[in-house]
Amino acid sequence: MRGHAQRTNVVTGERGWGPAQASPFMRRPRNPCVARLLLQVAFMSEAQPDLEARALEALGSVSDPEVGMSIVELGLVVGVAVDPSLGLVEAKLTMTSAACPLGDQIARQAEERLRAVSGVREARVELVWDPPWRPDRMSAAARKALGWGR
Amino acid sequence: MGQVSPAARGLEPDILARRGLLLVVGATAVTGVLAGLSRAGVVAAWGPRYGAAHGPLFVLGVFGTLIALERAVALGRTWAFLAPVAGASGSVATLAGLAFGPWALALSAVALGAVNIAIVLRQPAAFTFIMLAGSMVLCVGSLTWAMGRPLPDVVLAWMSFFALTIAAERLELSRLAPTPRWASRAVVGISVIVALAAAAARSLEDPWSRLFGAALAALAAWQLSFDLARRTVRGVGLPRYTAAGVLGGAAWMLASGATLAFTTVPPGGASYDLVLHAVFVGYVLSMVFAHAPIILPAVARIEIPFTRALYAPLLLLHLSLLARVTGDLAGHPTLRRVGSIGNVLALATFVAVVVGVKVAKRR
Repeated sequence: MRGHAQRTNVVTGERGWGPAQASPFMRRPRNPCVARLLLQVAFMSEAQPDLEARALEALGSVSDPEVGMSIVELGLVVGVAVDPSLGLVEAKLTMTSAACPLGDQIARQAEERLRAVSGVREARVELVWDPPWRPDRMSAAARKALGWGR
Repeated sequence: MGQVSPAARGLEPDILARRGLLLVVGATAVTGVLAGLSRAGVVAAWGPRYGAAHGPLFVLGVFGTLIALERAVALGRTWAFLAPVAGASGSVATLAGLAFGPWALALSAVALGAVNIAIVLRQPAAFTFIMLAGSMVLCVGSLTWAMGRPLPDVVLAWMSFFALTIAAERLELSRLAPTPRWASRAVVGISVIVALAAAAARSLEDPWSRLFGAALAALAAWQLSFDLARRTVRGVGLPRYTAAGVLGGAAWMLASGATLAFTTVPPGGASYDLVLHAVFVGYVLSMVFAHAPIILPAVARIEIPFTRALYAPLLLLHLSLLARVTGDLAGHPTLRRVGSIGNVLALATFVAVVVGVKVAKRR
């Protein structure tokens, strides 16, 4: 399989894949195999854009509580991959701050909302730190609401 | 937790462990309050040891441990939880009179420093470096305190930890709105001065403490001018409430900094009470009230549905602090005492509102 890329699982801090030790404070990492398959074998079908749009809409219902804006508008959604035939959705999110404890909660909320979308049987959300967030990732509407000019 | 098994309620052991930690922090806050009230002469004194524990219990045992828990959750590594666990154990040990108590509290500061280094490595940015600087000053202050340095000589270091940690968080948030580049650079410069002055000051009478006060006031002025809260306070619901807590707190930090910069603050006097509590109650506790509905669900899955009733304890906090500070400035010990009791009532009201809204939701 191509590349066990140098990615750090935000939940446990583990690099690469493998079961983590059970610990009193941290959960075990989610199984990455399905996600890898998704990213490598991107199924293209007529159903895909539709499911992707619904997935994005579901993600739009998750908001950052400090600002009161959706994670889509804030540019926190790095990527969404869908497989309509299997009903699988994988989303990659980033956070503006590595010091913020909200990442886990927002990722969990996003997973819940994705699972509620019709046609979705399984959803995985992963937090990534690369590419780092920049203000120009925000949508035009968000920028306007927060006082940016053009 | 009740008769229902955690597994049946879908609670994972890590969440239960964090809730246990929060319970210890809560108990530490209660004893810290009682220690404070005994210092104010409101309750019968327990003895000098408990009175003297008021500051360390709140700074390291309550607020420091809460921040350490947040950072550990953010980093997501098991070793990071050493910081809040050491903080909680240190509080219990200090109350029990065990000699290693202060050392455990100091250890939590050191562990938090390590966590902040890991955060800088994950995201090297101005704000993560400022957070690390605040953490380093906390380490120095806490270790020297555990070694026996008098409390008034470390309070500046402890104050700077909160000022810098919060400034870093607010600087990071300010990226969401158009902030002039000179302002983003200025806050970094002010933060460096805060850190250096806090580390250099040998005592409150040191000239460095005046520079610290001026820089603290500048940091507060920055927040009042450029913080994202200026925009979000015009919104509705939770973001508006959070912004109100942030801005109100910044105003108190300005008062504290100005007092340090322009007056002499002898330890134990009225202005000492003002300087410390404007930051620890006016700024830090206000931030805790403002962010509890955001942080508790994120850290321990304790949902707090927003209610406008939350404004009541926030208002009571700021009004009672106004009374306390007026008592300090005018030399009215009774007014100061009334203000202190008001601070405690605000905290109790906050807990009551949070519990009340959860009970109401369950029905």
